[in-house]
Amino acid sequence: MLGPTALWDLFVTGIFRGGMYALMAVGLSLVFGVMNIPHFAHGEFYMLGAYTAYFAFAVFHFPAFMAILSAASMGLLAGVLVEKLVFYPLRRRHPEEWVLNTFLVTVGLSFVMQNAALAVWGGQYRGITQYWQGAIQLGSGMHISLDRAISFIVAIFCIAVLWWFLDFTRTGKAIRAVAQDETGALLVGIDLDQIHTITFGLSSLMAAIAGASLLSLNPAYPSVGLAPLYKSWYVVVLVGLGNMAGAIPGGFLVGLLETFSYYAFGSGWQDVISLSILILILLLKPAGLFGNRGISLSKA
Amino acid sequence: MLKAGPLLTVTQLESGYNHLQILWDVSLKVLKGEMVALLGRNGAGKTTTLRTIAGLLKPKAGQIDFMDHRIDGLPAHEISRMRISFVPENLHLFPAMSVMENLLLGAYGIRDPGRTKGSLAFVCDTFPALARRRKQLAGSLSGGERRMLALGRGLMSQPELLLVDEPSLGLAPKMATTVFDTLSKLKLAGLTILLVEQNVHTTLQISDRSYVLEQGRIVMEGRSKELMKDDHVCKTYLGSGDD
Repeated sequence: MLGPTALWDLFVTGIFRGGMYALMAVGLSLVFGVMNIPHFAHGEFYMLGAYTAYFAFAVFHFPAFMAILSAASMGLLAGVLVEKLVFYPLRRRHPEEWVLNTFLVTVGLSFVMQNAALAVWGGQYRGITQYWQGAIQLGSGMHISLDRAISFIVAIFCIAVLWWFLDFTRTGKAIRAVAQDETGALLVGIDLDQIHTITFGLSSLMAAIAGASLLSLNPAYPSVGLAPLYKSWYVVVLVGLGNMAGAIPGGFLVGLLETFSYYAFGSGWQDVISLSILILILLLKPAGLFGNRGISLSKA
Repeated sequence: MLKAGPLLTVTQLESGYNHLQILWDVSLKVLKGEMVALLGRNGAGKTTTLRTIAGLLKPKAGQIDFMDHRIDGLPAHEISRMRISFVPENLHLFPAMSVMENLLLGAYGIRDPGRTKGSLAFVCDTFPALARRRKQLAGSLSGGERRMLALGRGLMSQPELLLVDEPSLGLAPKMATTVFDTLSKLKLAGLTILLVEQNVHTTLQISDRSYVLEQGRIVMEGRSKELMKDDHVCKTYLGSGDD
């Protein structure tokens, strides 16, 4: 029933969709793995990136890449500020029941940021038709807009740079060390406060890049971050909490899953199908597809 | 310019966990180049003493001085960068990283690549088994190898003072002997060591001086050779099992 060309088209669409899911999920996973924060305000950094890119591109007429770059800087700045003003004082004053408290704090943060956006920019959609004109044609005759293709390349590039950073730089290694053993990290002289700030900043930067590069598909509005937030949580729960490497194949897997269920059952069913599959997987493998550790509820 | 005082001075230290106080009025000194042992039963406060010196626990009262600096209350990473290495009983290695990555992170506070290389050569020389397994993940090592890796990682920062908690715990006798030999060699090489060990007999043999902790207080101190002949020590800590 499905010819090879249709299959190929679906596959490509799914992979393209998955790249952004992977980018969002990696940031979420990083924050959970390193800081033990179940982050429910991740989508608001996506929203911030979308708005920043919109103003940079449509209002100040920056070139497209500069618009995405300014969104990235805004994400980094906002992430660092939020970590310093919210999580750092909380960790100092009340490190007990950290996971539950930070969950509540991020939910609150999400409300505050959404409503701040509503107050400042209003509720209307602020979108652009495209960053780059044109489309690329796949072998099968299917066209994919240049925006979509470039946003995919941006996602892959960001993930690759993050991986290089974590693997080969002194700070990146320190971030992984904190994720694996916080006390061990302290004992070799790693400043936890500094690592937490960098980690949260990086994660927010990636969410902002995602929001910026998808601007022509999803215009900026106050609650635009909710859908990407849920998708990235979906990915993270699917592969196992805190599994950073797993978030990448997980993102692609979810992209493919959605595309195929959309094709097979129609758009109304795509969430039902993918969520049912998630429930099934969690019933069989409670720690997630690639999960090997449970959730630790205390920070110590 | 100054007369060489003790490397580490702990004065009337009180410490513990939240509302549970464990240490009461603990004072001790470690001179440069000495190996000093803390003896005592489980729960006497030996580990708490080391954790407080290393900055993992905040003291409730008292003072800790290290090389003319007051260090009590400083965060652990700053104390580590002042060249105090703590090798804890439960190691706290980075399990998903290779032996080499673990060692190099031990030198995190050293930003001079030349010095890091020197440390690495020294550690590989001291623990040839680690050099052979440098690409293996720390989590896949045997218990003895892990303990050596923790010691090696602790030495990578070229510490002035090494705090070691139960280095022979859970090791086969032969491996334990290797660990004690290594500690003795490190001491000969000029390292100052504060050691907590359950194997009282060996500890008294290799250390210069010892303190005996009971219920969070220091009840005895002296040269290890003399403590070995002491009635109370013999009865309480050497009476059964050892030898």
